[in-house]
Amino acid sequence: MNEHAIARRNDDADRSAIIFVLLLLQAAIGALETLVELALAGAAPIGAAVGLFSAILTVSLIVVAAGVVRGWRWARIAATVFEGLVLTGAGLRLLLRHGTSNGLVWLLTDVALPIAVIDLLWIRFGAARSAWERPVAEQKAGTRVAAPRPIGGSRPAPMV
Amino acid sequence: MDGSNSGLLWHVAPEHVPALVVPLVLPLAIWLFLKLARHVAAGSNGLTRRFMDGYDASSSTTRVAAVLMLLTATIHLALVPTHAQDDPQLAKLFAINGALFIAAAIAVFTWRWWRPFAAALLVLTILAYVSYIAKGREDADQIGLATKLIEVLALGLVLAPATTTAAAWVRTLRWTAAGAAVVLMTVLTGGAVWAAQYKQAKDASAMGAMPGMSMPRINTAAGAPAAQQDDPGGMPGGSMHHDEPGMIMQPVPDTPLTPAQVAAANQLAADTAADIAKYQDLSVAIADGYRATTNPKAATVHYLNPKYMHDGKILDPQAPEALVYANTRSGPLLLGAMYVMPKPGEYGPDPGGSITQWHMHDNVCFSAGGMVVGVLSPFGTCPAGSFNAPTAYMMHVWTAGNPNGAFGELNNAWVARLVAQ
Repeated sequence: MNEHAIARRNDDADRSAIIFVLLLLQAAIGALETLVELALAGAAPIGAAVGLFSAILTVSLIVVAAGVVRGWRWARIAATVFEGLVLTGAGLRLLLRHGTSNGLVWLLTDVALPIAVIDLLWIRFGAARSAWERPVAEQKAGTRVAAPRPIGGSRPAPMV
Repeated sequence: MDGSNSGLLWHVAPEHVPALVVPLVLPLAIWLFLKLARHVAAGSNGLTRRFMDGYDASSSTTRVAAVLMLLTATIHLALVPTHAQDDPQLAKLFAINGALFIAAAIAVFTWRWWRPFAAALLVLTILAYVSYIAKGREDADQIGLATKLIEVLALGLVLAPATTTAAAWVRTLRWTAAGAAVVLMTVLTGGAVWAAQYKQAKDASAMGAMPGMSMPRINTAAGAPAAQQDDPGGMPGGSMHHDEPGMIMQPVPDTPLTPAQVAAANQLAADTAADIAKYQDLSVAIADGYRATTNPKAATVHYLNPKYMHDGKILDPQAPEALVYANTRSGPLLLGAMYVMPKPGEYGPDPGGSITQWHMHDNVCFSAGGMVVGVLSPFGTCPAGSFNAPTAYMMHVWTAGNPNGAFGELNNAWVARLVAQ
């Protein structure tokens, strides 16, 4: 394995570690919410349904986090869909809670964290790939080359 | 908890505001430091050179971990001046903690064994916070929680493997350790903060029943219908409720109660008790359209009647928007009524001045069907499948003899006794 290939694998592992930790943090928050939800409303059918859904999503998020580390493309897509839903929910909440405060921690967990995950999953992954795979001479000349394929993926990563 | 209730500063204690501002200069400080260090390292073989060599060879993960540790160091150091007078011991701990985190951030690029050192420091710092929260020595505000999230992230990055060159079993072990540490520390921190918040509310509820407390009370307990006011001038404009998490009180005039207001409050309490007596039997209420909106198997249950929500009548004892029951061993016991305004954000009338104070909740999580299925976690989020929205303003009128009065906070100990009967 040449120097570039090793460096690229390390860079992927590097970004995967950050995504893994961010997804695990979300899963941990989900686990705590699920436990409290089940304790508060688990006896009611609707409460039990919400608790079950929340528990399944929490476990799924852990599996997705592991999948991202392993370079599985479906895990990256699932993580992106999940973060997109979180951001949509955050937008709806801003509408519903118009005029009331949301808090700094909410901004971190429901806005900054999903944006960071999506950014790391697609934008920076693509950028890193491009930089590693672009021949040095072309980089010096400023020539753009075709976007490389993401690891474990079948389509080119977006060029940034 | 002293905190502003508006905008981003929601629940940030005033003494913690510097911690919100000082980290903003961190990126510039890091940039300047790196410029200076690179310049110094160019002509030396000492620690600076080692630092820059380590920095250049480092991965993104380790750099992010170092920045997160510097961020938490800055936050802790920013809190030292504001805590120096009130709590010198805590201020010293913040200073030591800040210095150690700076040392850890430098060690990332200069010391082979930085990971065990940083991991131990992060775990101890999080555990110390949890201990302070659990003992009630520190209020959990947004800065404290945000800092813990930063530390949990840093811990995960410190433990996660950053390169592909390590042996497979080492990498598996590191991934497992990172995942377990992140989940454990997040659940521990969030759980401790949640428990502390509700313990405070519970203590406040219990205090409401303490004799001699300066709170206006209206007593409509069975057998003692006569209104009374323990301390008419003691708490002008004061609140009948305590500051529960997520509970927002409607403002009331900051003037002493007048006899007319006390009489109006008594009248409302008496009318409510008389008019909802027909709902002593829960099946009658259900037949009339009341539906459980909270867990029907909990100690207390709220039943809402949608047809009364938008009937155009406010404070109508004959058609209260909601009823509250206790699930006792001998069946549901009617505790009182809850008047609800038609729309969130609309203030309710307060004929009894500060006695008849309305409140709303902005931390409730609803299911798609409108049932209350939880409350916002300390991280400001609801369980998946539910959403957070502010409730309309509401006012309880307890008719079963709440020790804190007809309009007071529901006494949890009293409810527990009722439930056991």
